[in-house]
Amino acid sequence: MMKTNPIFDERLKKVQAVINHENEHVLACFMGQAVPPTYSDITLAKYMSDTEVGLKYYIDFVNRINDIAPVDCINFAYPGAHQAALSLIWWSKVKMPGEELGENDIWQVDEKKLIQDGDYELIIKEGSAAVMNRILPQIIDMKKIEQFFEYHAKDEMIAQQYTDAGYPVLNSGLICPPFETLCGGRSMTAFFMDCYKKPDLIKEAQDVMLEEQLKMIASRPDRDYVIGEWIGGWRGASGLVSPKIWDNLVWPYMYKLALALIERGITPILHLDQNWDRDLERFLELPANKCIINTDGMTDLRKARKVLDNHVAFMGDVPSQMLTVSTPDEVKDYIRRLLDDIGAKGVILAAGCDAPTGSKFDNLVAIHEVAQEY
Amino acid sequence: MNGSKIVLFTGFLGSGKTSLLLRCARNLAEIKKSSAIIVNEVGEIGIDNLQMKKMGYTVWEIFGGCICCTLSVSLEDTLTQLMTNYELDYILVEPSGAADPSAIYPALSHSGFSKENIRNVMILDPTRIEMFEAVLEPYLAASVPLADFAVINKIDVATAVEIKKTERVIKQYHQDLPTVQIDVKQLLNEQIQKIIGG
Repeated sequence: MMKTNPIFDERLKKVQAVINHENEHVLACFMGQAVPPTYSDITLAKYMSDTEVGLKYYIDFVNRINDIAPVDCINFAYPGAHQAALSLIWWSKVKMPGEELGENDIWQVDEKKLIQDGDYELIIKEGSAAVMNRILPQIIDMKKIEQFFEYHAKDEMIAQQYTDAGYPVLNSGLICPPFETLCGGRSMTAFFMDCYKKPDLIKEAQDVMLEEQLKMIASRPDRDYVIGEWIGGWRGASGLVSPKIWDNLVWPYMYKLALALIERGITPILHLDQNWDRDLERFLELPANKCIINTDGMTDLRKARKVLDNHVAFMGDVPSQMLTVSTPDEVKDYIRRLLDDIGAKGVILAAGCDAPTGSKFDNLVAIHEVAQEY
Repeated sequence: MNGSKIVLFTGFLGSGKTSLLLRCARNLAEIKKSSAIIVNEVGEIGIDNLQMKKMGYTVWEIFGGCICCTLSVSLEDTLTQLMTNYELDYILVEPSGAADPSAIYPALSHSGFSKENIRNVMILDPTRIEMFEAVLEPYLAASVPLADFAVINKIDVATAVEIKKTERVIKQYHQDLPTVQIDVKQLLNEQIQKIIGG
């Protein structure tokens, strides 16, 4: 059982109020997993590899913003064991700072065609582990997978540190729809060709993967510190794939994963990169006041408000480019124009997608400062 | 802003953007025009930047950190550095082949480049045109109208039917878009001039 404190409790209530559209004011949420080293005496490599030290630097950095303007919550916590997490969901090699990359270079996905011909059939016959267990040793040192599980065995202790610091963390897990995992493992060009030539085979494989995920979600022990979990969508964006593909291979899976989380009392946080305008009304199929959609500036939130009204909460959507090159006044102006149009109900202000390492400190602060006006 | 012109090489992964960009860079060097190259490709067909550096080109890599983010988050920073430190005739930019090219325009505009100084060259692979129409139609609908010039690549391996179909797709989204058909391995200087736009 987590030990809470008055600041945390008050902020947690605010988070719940936003999800229920009962809030009076917007929430200001920190998102910027890789930013702290830019403004600290630690390299990105050390920050990522030494999880104990990295976590401390992360919380210290959030505190520095909070000292200037309130940080009501955190979207994603410190990215401990991040390489393994990404490899597990994306089935691609992730190059890391201090290893394949320079000490302060941001991690990069090195996508290659690792799902071979016959692997969809193998997934259908034997389950996704049959393919994943072959791919993983090709993309990551398996000791890092062990370390990932060791790190996450301490999740409750880690969560307590955020609680002690007064920050509810919105996302406590990554759920990757099968479409995205297969796209990463097969590589983008080959996967889209497969979607054209053998969509039924992909669907059958995705159905097997979905069943595995639903069982996993249903059987996990309860964790009282969990507010929400990330369901990612990027290669399946409405702005990229045709309606036939989206209706058949993307949305049904995101939808069922979201329902499974809701069933467990967990808020699905649908991380929607690129443009999802075409299919916004489909989000009305989700239960009301149970989900957050996290957009990156490319989905039109004004349209989203019109279509979805108060059905889902909105998180975002300060474009990541703005954080690196604009001025704090420009960031504030962007947010004011947005909030003047869509209002504060159910809105969580945050960097769209993620804040780049080169984000200006003052721009990150600006999000939290301007939130106090609404 | 200085007088540099930006040439964007847009198009989906595997369309031949990198090869065409390199040929254009080489041609510019031959006619004594200075150029820099900016790449933002995270994917299975990443640019071999070391090879490009060995060939004497200045290559600036820009990446986002997020696994799902293909936007060129530091493009403006890179452009600012280039324009501050170099006198360039051309800046050749290869955005991610997985991203919506419309995302790049605000960054270019914010860096002081007007529409007249930007040339968006879209490269299409006719051998995959049926897949594009069936699977990635929104990508075509968003990308083709933004282009200033279209290049139908791989005519050495594409069938006449595929090339014809690619022409039809281009016209469907951008009626008057000037187009050239090429085999990037056999590119003529006059074709390069057309592509770069003088």
